[in-house]
Amino acid sequence: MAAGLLGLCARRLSAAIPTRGLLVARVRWESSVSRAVVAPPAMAGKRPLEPTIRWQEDPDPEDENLYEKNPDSHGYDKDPVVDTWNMRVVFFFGFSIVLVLGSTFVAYLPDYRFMGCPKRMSWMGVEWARREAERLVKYREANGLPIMESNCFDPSKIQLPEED
Amino acid sequence: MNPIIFITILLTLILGTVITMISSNWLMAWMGLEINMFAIIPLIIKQHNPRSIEAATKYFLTQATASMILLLAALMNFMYSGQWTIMNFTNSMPPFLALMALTMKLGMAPFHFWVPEVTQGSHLTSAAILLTWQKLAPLSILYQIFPSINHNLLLYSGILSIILGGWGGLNQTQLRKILAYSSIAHMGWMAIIISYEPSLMLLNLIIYILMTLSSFMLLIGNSNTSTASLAIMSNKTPLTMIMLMGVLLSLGGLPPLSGFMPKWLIIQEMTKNNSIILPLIMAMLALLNLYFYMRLIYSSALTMFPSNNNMKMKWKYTNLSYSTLLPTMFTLSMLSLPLTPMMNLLL
Amino acid sequence: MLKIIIPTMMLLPLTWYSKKSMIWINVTSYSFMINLAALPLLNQTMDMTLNTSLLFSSDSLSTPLLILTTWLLPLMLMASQFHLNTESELRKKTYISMLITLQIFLIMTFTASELIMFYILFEATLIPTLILITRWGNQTERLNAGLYFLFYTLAGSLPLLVALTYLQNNLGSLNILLIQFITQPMSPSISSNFLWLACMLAFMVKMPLYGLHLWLPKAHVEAPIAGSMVLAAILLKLGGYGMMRITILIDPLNYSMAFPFLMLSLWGMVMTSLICLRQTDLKSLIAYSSVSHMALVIVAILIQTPWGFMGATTLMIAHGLTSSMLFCLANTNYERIHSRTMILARGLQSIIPLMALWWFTASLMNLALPPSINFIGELFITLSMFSWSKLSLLLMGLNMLITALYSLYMLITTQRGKPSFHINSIKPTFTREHTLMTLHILPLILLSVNPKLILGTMY
Repeated sequence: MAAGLLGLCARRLSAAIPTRGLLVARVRWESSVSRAVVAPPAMAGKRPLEPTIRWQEDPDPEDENLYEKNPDSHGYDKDPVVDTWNMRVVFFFGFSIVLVLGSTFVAYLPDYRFMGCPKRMSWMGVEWARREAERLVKYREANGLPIMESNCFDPSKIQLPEED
Repeated sequence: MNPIIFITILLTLILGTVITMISSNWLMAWMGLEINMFAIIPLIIKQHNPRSIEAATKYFLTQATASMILLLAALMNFMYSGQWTIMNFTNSMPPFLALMALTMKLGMAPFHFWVPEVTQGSHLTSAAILLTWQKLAPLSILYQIFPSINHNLLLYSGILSIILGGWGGLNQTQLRKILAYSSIAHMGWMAIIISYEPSLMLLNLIIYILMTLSSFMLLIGNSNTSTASLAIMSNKTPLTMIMLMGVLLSLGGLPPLSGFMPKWLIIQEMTKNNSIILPLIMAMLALLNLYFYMRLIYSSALTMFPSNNNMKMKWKYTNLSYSTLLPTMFTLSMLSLPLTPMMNLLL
Repeated sequence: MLKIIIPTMMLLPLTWYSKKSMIWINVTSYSFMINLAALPLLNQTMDMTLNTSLLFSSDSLSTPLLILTTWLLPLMLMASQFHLNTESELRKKTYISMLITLQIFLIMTFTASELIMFYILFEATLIPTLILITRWGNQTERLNAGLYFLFYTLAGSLPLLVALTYLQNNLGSLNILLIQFITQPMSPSISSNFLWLACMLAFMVKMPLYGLHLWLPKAHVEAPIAGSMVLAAILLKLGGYGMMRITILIDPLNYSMAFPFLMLSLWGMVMTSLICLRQTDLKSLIAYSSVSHMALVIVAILIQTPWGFMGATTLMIAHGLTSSMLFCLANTNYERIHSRTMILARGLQSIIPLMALWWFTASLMNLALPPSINFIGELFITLSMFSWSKLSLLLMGLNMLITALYSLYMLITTQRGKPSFHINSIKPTFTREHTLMTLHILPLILLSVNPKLILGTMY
């Protein structure tokens, strides 16, 4: 859903770009033709020769617009297939797996450090320890067991090694 | 140089060091030092140019003086105790003289001035030998006589070496000089720790030799002698520049690398002996060293200088042969910190 | 803990053996999965630690930071995807490897249960960060920034090493689980005061304390986007984490020694907020805002109350996500306008309106609007501070006010007003950027639903 909305928005905006870009291509902040957002195809042949000595440190920030070749671009890659897949992977793993599954998992974790502080937050009602205790009580009542017992485990089920 | 002569000289060099290491007689130890010195001089003047001859002369003069002083110490010791054995001294003068001679041989602080000059004058290979192998013989004598040497003198000399080794290298652009100053600083660490825990001195020496040798191997591969020549390293041998960065950071003693191990253990040993301020000062002064290594790293690995386009791919066409030992040395000089818990097995 | 560390290490071969087109996809999805694998650590059932071994363990203080670390790696990857587009494959892989190495070291730092090991790993994070800043930064000032970063941290932390070895010799062990039982109260002498200083200074430099903060704006401004993100979100938190860990060792001295640093932080947070108000550089503004927020954390830790600790942990996590998001937003502007100057990027609301929403949310989070997790942190800190000294409320309140001011100043300068002419041609936003912002903001919102997860050891 979110992906669709975002993509839609991006596409709307990309549709508006070519006209605007052409108008101001020459007066851009960098004020250099080669860096224009929409380079007219005619310019391609007239590129000046590359200088033999160049500062390797910062190559020109080639301000290429990914929407130019691929209006559906998500900004990941130049190749549309890789781009789409990268978007899908991020959405699947980031949102579906980690955020949705992960936060569900965290929400149903046993109470956070419940050994220390069951009292303080007990108004919340979804206390894991309390819930578990209630379940245990119900189970014991249903099975006719004593509610509280000194043996944590049934002594008859404990198998001790034979004494030599 | 004729290979037979070269091998003879190299063997003589080794022979001299080994004689010094294994002899318990002052005279034999002195002879070993002399043999060692005479063998290294042809190696320094392997390239015949005035600079290397000047370096050889300087080296000869300082080493001969040091040997003479050492002989004087041995003679005085003989005069007082009547024996030639390298053992505890009975008088305070001979160990003082011996310490002076040994600091001169090792290039430690008050007598350190020859180290950068001589290293700069010699070829990279000979410089590597000068800064690593040549330390062994004097250190082995120091290892034997340190109990009778005035502890404070060693400390002063050591801390002065660390200061000057860090300070002197700040203004250098020549790689051999920088490594020479780094050697002075490391010698300072060794001199300080030797009276507390001599095995840590050995550990420091081993790690220092590993790091220095691997950095020299990297430099020899490209015949780099100045910081400016490091700048084209990324075009010629991109992998080397990464390795050099690692080795230099390790020399500077940054924690996860093995250069940190001797520093850490030395600091621990000294705090164990209730010395808190001294290791702190030493560690802080080691930052000076790190600063000039950082400058080398900046010019070699972390920036790229303007260069010809056709030089960019040079690494594809040049086939530089590096020493076979380089990978081992590099790994040991980078990644041996996790081995620290095993160190008590070795020492 | 190996179930997180080993997968993170295996990210390195994954990077280098991936096909060119698959680098980002593989590494991003895999690092998301590592984050998922770290979530079960939140199941903290005891007061002590989980997964105890001699080397690694995590407790309720380190787990949130650990999860934040693992969460940030995929976000850093997504954020730097654009500016590495033109680089060669080899460099992309090197860059990713640097991020992964940093991640490995950070995970190990947060989970180390031995203080010396913590120290070594704390320092080990320097190298990848340094390379990130100085190799992939943009301007030549980055070299200076790298040196500042390295030497400030090292000079601050070498006394810590000496102090730790000294304590090791005295106590016999530096295991975090053990020291709370074997530590002895320190006698108030000059030498123990110096010991306190040596222990705290490293972390105060890292936090950074006002006065020792000069490296931070430089490093932040010059670093590439991933570097800024990880610096703001995690590396600063190392300082707070270390302080909370080490105060056990130097306990009774805090009451006398903390005063000058408390004053410095209180004063410093107002000063840095005021500096924010006159910044023209967007990244620098965010960096100074980090200093101001971290001063709150220092204050909270130094007064040593349970509420202060809870507030400090909460604010660290909240600020980690918020400042990282602000840096991402600044980077989206930078990628379009090629300048960090705010006045050149004004009026963006009318051009990229959805981004304005993210700016708005991020600014509100930064100024700690009530339901947000930042607010919970600041509330705890303010209350504990108020109980410590009523007068401190003057400076705290002033700081809150100025924080709100500069956050709105940042929002209004970048989003409102008449857009300057040259930004008419900027390209629209990408799904990638919106995803990035969403992935920052959603954990913040989810955490404000259930803040007890990040309240730390004192909860």
